[in-house]
Amino acid sequence: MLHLLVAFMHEARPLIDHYRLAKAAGAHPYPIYANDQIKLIVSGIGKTAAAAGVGYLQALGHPSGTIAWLNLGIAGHGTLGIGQGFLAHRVEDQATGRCAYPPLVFPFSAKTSDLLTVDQPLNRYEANCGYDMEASGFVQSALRGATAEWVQCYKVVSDNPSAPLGKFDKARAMTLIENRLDEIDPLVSMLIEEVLQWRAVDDSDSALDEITKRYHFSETRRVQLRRLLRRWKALEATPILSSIDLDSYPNAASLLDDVRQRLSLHRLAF
Amino acid sequence: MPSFSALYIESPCRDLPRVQKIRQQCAGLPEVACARYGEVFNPVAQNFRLQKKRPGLILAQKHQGFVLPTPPDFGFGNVHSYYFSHLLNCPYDCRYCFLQGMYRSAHYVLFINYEDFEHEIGKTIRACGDAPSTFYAGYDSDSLALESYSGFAEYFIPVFQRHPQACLELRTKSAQIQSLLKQEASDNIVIAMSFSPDNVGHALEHRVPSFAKRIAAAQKLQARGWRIALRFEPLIYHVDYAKHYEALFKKISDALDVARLHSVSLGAFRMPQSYFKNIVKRYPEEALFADEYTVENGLTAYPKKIEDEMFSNCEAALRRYIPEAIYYRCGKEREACL
Repeated sequence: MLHLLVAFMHEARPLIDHYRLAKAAGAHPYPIYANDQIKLIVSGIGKTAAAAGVGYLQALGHPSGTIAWLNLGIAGHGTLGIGQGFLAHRVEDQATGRCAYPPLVFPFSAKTSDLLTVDQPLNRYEANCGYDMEASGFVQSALRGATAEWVQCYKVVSDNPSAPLGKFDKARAMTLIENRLDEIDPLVSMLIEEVLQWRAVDDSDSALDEITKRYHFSETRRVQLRRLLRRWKALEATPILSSIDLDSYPNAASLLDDVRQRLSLHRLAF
Repeated sequence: MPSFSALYIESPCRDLPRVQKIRQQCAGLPEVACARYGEVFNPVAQNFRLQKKRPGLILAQKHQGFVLPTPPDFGFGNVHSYYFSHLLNCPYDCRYCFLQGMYRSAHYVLFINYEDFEHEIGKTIRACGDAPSTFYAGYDSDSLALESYSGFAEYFIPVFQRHPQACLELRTKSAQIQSLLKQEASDNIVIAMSFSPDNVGHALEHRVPSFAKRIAAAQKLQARGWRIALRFEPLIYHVDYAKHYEALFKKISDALDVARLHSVSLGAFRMPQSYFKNIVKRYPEEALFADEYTVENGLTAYPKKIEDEMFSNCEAALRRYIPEAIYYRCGKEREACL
C-alpha cells in the first residue's frame, strides 16, 4: 500500500536492501521491486519519466483501496546542509509555475521545505528552497489516483551553495540515501500504518460482494444495497451476514425490503 | 489550543502586522508561501477527514463578499440580517455540523484584512438607515475558538460599540473569553453559546471544551454584564432525547440568570443535501448519518413527523425554564427579540 518512486537505481539500492524488496516478476518497462507492503519503481530522470512511472504503477493495479505515494531521492538545496533530509511542503514546477501543497497531516518530524522541480540541473540556489527534477511530475500524476495527503516527497540534500552540483556520483547518491534511512524508515512505516488505518475506514463492505453473488441486483438496487449496508455497519453491532439468512429470500427486492425493515426498527442511542 | 500542521501565508500579506504577530506565535511551524489561499484550500484531491487531524492555518486576504445577507429564517434578528466570515472552518469537530461537508479542505482560512470587513459593515449599517440590523459572525466557524491568534473579538467588539443600532452575534462553543472580559460589555453584542445534552456532546462534539468550562465562562460573562444567548441547535433525535434535553435546560437555567438571557433558540438538524452526502462519505461509520432522513427543497433533515415531535417536546420542556418572550425557533419562524 506504499508506492515509492525513485529516479536512479543507485537511489533505490539502499531501499531495496533495507526493505528486502524483490524484483517484480514479468516483463516491465521499468525496474520494479516489491514486498507485501511496498512497491518501488525506478522511473529514470525528469518529471515526465516520474509521471510515467506513477502512471505505470497505477495501471499495474493493486488490491483496491488507498495507496500512499512517496517520491524519494537526492536534491539540491539553498540552505540545508549536505546529507540533510526534508519533506516538501510546496512543490513547484519551474516550467509551468504550477504548485502543489502536500498537506503535512502526519506527525513526521523531518524538516520541511519548498521544492522546485527544474527541467535542467541548476547551479543557482535560493535560500530555503530545494531543487529536483522529478517531484512535480510525480505529484501531478499521483494526484489522479490519491488525495494530496497521501502524496509526499522526501529528498536528501546532495548539493548546496557550499558544495554545488558536480558530475552525478552514483556511489555518493547511494550513500546519501543510506545515511538517511534513520529518517526514511519512520516515514515509510508511518505512511504504511496510516494507510492501514485509513483502509479500515474506507474499504467497502465485503458483505456487498457476498450478497450480490447470490442475487441479481440491478444497478439501482445495488446502490440501494450499498447504502443499506453502510447504515447497517454504522448502526448494528452484529455483521449483517450473521443477522440474516442469506438463502431465504426469493429475490434481491425482498432482501432489500427485509434489511430496510430491520433498520427502521433501530433507534439511535448515545 | 489547536496545533497547526503548517502556516500558509498569501505572499502579499506576509509583512502585515496581524500576520507578523501570528508568525511569531507559530514560530517553529513550517511556513509556506502561496499566491492565493485557493491554491491550498480548493484543490479537488483532498481528504477532509485526514486533514482534520492536523489542519494548517492559512492567512489570507478577502477581496469581496465581506458581508452577506443571511439565509431566510436565520437567527433572531430583524429584516436586516447579515453574516460575515473572518474564518473558514472550525477547530472543533462536531459531527453534525454542515462545515464537515462544506469544504474540501479542513485547513483554517483566516482573513486578516479586518479593516476591509469593518468598512463594509459600516457601509451596510448606514444603508439600513435608522432600522436596526443584525450581524452574525459564527456562520462559517466558531467566533471565539481561534481568538488567541485572530484577535477577532478584540477588534470587532469596539467596531460594533461604535454602531449601537447594529447587533453582533458571536456564536461559540469556546470557553476562551479573555478578550471579552478585557472589554466593556455592550447591549448590542450577544454571546450565543451552543449546548447539547452531555451524551450527545460526548458522542458527536469532539474537541469541544467541557460543559463545565463553558457554563463557567457563560456565568463569568453574565456577571460582567454581557448578554448571553443560548442555542440548542441542532436538536439530535435519539432514545430518551426529551429527557436529556430537559435535563440540559434545567442544568443551564440553574446555572445562569435566566432573566438576563438575550434569547434562546432551538433548531432542527438540516443541511444542504450535497453537504450531507459529503459528510456521509467522510464518516461512513457514523451512526448519526445512518438514521432516516428526508430531502426537501435540497435540504436533508429528519422526517417531518420526527422533527415536529422533537420541537413539540423540547419547546414544552424549554417553556418550563425560560420565558416565552425570549424564545425563537431557528429555521422555522422568526421573532424579533431586540
